[in-house]
Amino acid sequence: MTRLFLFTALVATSLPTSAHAFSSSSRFAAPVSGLETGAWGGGGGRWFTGSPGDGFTCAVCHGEREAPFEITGIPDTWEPGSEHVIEITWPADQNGAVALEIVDADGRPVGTLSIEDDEPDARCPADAPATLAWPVGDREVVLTEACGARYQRVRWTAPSEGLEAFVYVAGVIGNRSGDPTGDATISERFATARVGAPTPEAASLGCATTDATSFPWVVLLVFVLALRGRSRPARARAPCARRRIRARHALLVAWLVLPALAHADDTVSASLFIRNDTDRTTVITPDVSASVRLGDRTTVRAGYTVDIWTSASIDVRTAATRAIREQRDELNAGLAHELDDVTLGADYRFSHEGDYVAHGGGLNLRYRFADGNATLGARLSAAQDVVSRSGDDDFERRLGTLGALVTFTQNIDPKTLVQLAYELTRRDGYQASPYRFVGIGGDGRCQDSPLCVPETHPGLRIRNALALRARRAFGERWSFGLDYRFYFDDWGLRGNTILGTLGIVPTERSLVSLRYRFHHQTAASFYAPFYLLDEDSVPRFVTRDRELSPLFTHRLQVGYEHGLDLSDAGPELRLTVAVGGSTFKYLDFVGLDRVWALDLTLAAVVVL
Amino acid sequence: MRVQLTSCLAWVAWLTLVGCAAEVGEAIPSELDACGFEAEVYPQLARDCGFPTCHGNDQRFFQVWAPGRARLDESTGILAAPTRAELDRSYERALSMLGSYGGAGTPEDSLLLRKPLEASAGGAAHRGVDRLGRDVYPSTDDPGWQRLAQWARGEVSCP
Repeated sequence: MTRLFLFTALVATSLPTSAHAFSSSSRFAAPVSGLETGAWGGGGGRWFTGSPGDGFTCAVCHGEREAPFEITGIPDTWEPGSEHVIEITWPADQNGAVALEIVDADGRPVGTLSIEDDEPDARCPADAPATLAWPVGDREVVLTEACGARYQRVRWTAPSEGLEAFVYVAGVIGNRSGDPTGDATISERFATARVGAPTPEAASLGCATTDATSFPWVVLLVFVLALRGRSRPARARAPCARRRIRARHALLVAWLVLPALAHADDTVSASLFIRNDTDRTTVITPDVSASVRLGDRTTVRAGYTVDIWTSASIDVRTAATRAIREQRDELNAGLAHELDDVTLGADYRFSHEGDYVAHGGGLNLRYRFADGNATLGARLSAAQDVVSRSGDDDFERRLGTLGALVTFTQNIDPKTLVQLAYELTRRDGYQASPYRFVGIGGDGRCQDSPLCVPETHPGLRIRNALALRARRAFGERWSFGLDYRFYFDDWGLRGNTILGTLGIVPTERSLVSLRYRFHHQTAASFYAPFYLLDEDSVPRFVTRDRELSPLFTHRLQVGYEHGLDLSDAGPELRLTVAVGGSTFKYLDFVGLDRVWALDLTLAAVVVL
Repeated sequence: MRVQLTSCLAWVAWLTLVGCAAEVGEAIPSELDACGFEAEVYPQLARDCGFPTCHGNDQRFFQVWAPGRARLDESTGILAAPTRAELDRSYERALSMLGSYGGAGTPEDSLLLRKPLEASAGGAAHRGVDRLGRDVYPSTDDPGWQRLAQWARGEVSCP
């Protein structure tokens, strides 16, 4: 009995097994639906040869691991009516299936094909035909099914008309797993021409379904990366080295330019901000800037900032993508000119990252009156952002921003200062994230929700902020400040922010500061932690933006600044180190309850 | 200075006036004919989209699970009839694809109909081109695209 079982098992394992779902030729022609026939899962008329009549290949189901097929007999050129034996073979111990089609550039059959399967190795073990020619509309596909045959051999008679022919071969070597994945495939294309005719385009494409188009894009990508390497730091290769070079360039430029322009109170500064939080996000922000006075009344400044952002946050995890690393480069410049009691200014900034480009600028006015004890300030700003989506060349959305800020500052007495401010911002355009999707009918995340739709925000947002600030000195060494800011917008979001600042001057050249900030906000009107499906329709606006959810934050920062003279009558160096800690409490956001963050700021300012 | 202040205040007032309340409306229907989907649309999606390296894959947002291609539950026979879970998942994800970035209004603007459509015919970027660089449907005249569009417009019902 045991011997019989072993024999049966041996025979079973040595016989060809079903390599894939379409081991029978007829499966390709059969409908997908089995509602009428009861047989499900046909090809629906797709034969996966990769020809113009059916551009998909076997690789879309069986993967792209290269299969050991050998193809012989395809002529480079042919005479009208000439005959050519084309043979496709595979190793004897492999379970192969292969399809062949010979067509012109438009996908129409060229010449005639006849099957040569007289030998046992070209047939199924029970001497049934392994290779059949299947009419597919105007096409003809010769297909050898995976029944144990060892090769496909066809005789092709060249056409009496026409100048070129293309041979498409698609094959599979099954891994006997019982499903289509993990098999090995081949997908080849050969161009042939009538004798004396121009040589057709280059032959033999790879098996990947996108190879025909990916090559130019790869070349273009390499070219763009090379250009980026020249014009701005690349993300992929040696980013740290590139950043060092860039920072050195900025400092070098600053030092080359500054001597000619240097004036009292000119400054050069560099800073580094590092932040890490429990939502697996790290931000590193180096910054260099310089401010130079030109004459007695004009000041120009310029700066360069980099945000290097690495994250595997809840947003990233929800999108089922790996950790993301982004870099944003920003250039900014400004000009201010004093006219007695009025100072006029203008500034511009440009920032760029892989999927976001922003231009912005503003005009500033400051008017001092009441013997310099009162100041009225105003600012008008405008920005234009272009949002794109990595990997989607078709995606481009714009966001326009207009803003106005009015401030009034009053010295109450020599030790007390108060300020009132109002800011109005109008944002019009795309304000969602192209990477965030919102689950509908589940817990808000897409993973287990029946519907999953792109995040969609209203196109228009009017933001308002009112602020009251006060500062007062106590004695020679202490000062205290208190700010309150009320924010509201037409998305229904309300926010309250309180900032307390304590300053201590322990020595003449040093300052210790302590800052505490509290912020609380309500949710936007269309925000919901999850959206229900049992309504008449999905809401027009859906979001997974936690910044639109109800939350509160606490932040505490301790800083120390110290001034040093670089020479007896020369520049002064001001060094600052600050450490901050924050906590964000999300009151109604699925998947994230609280985030803790720690940040460090190092800054050096040289006052020339 | 008075002139500047007046201009500024007028500008602020204009900004406030144009800032009307957020629009209201519908982004996508929460339901379309599921029976019609299973009879007409699901076979089409399985035929053209449901391959293991394409959308028969749980790494994709849009998923189509079907016999002869990829099974949601690996223990399901490769040629067995579609399971209820496979039909539901395919239906729900197709419905989701009727949304679009920015919430555009018509089914023709949706990802479901633009993604598989050739760019020259108004389609969106799609990595699922064939080896000749062509998207799934060359034009809106393609019967396959028409079938999807009819369902998206609510024109397909249970046979």
